[in-house]
Amino acid sequence: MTALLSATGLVKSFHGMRAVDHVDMEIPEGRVTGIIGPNGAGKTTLVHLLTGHLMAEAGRIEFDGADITALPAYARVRRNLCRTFQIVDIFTRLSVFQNVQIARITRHGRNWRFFMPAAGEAAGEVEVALKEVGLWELRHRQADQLSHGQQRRLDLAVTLATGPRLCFLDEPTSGVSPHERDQMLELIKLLAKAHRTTFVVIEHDMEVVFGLCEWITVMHRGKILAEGKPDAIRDNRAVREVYLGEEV
Amino acid sequence: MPIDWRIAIPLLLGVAALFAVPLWFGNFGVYLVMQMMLLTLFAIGFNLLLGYTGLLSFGQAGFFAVGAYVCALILQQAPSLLLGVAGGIVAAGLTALVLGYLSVKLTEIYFSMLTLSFGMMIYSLVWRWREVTGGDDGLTDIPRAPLTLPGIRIDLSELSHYYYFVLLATLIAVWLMHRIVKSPLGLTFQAIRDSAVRAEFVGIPIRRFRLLAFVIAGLYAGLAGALLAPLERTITPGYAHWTASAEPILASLIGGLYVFAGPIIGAVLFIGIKEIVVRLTDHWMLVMGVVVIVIVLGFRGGVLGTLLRWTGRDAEGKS
Repeated sequence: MTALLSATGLVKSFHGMRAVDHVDMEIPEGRVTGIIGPNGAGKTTLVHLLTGHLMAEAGRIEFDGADITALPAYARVRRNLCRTFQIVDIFTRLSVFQNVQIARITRHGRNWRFFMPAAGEAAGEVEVALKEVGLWELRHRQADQLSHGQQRRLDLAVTLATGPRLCFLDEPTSGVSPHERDQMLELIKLLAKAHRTTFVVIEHDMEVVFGLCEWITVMHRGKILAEGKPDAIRDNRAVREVYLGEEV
Repeated sequence: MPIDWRIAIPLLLGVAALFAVPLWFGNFGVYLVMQMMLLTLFAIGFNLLLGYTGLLSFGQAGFFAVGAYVCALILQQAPSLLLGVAGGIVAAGLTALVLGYLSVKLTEIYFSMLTLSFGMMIYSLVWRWREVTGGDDGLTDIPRAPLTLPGIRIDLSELSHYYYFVLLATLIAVWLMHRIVKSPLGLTFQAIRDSAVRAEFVGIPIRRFRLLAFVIAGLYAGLAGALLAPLERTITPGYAHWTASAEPILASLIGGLYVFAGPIIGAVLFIGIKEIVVRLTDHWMLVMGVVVIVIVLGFRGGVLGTLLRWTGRDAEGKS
């Protein structure tokens, strides 16, 4: 099986510190992958490199058979590689409806249309997307009026509305209540099936990772420490030493 | 889409009143309303940048001046109003394209400072390039040339005749801007305003759209400047100065950044207040400063934004 995304020799430093230090990674289609590691392990930086939010100093990234190393983020999104951020990032002054709508308009390449009203653009698709995450009833609400949990779901809906084949979720449950967290996890599982999107989840929360992921990559000090199925990771001695401690 | 009569009726009455201005008022009133219309054009262009795209430019007077000078120079050579105005708009748009290409590489305060510098470069150029711009004397005796189309020639040398030309240009430009902000393009600008990173991660090449907003703002500034030249018949480098860039900023702040009509109401209030205060005191800038401070602190979202909030109407939905 060829990988959907494969990265080789990725390097990124900040102030002389190697945040990501010669990382190789392969992500096959259809497998939910988790990336874990202690604070400062380089998880988020790695995702920044893979999605084009930051440019790598060295290394090569291939996605869907093409070299995307030099592509800016928006061009990677167009090739169906998308992500969410640790902190909720939505269009605060736009309505819930418009938040998803702008993603669909962009997907269809209609941003340059300047004469006809946007109101009805992609309305059917937006309805489906908002119903999926349970926000259709709130569609007229300005996005910054939503609760944090609702904003998390909107964030996810906007991301999925770009039509990604591969989607990175950076701590998708941070800052939400335990009840909302469980809802969110169910939602991610559901969406992974419905959209045939391959998810990669970056998480702190062990319960989330072991409950959701079929494959886990552990990072430590900018390098990949271990990779494997959840059970193997749980039993891995090196992982226990640097990260899991006595909890497991 | 159904017509909202609560908006349509006041709008129609307002437009009808504008057409009646030369019948009711003398030259001074006509002149004053034209000042309001020119600042309206200048300010709605500016606010496409600030209120809709999230970019604060301090250099818009530069594009205004390019429009004014190019229009004046054309009119001195060839007496066709349309040619002069079109020339002014195109020149301002091209200038905005070049300077915008460099400016949109930066954002926030760095963008603002760069536009301020470019605006002052245009000011220096206008000041120094005496052979073309007349230096500090400016350009004088700009003819209020007739409107010539194939088979038609309308004399506009009367102020009231020229008023109708400016009114039509303003109505068309405001209507077009309204189409833009309500279109997918307008939504794209607003997405960039709310979060540039998020916009990039829905697949929007944000720099290109920032540049486009900058060029549109430049075209509107150029139009306002081009219409000013035949009105005043004399133009001086002062129009390019950065303090002139403050006028659309203040108009937008007074009226409200996040309502389409905000800068329009703001332009009317700005010119109106200035006109009244100038008669009472030499220190009109001081009074205007106080007015702006009161509005910014007391009426968050501008006069119109606040009124809409009080009446319980969504500030984004109103045109």
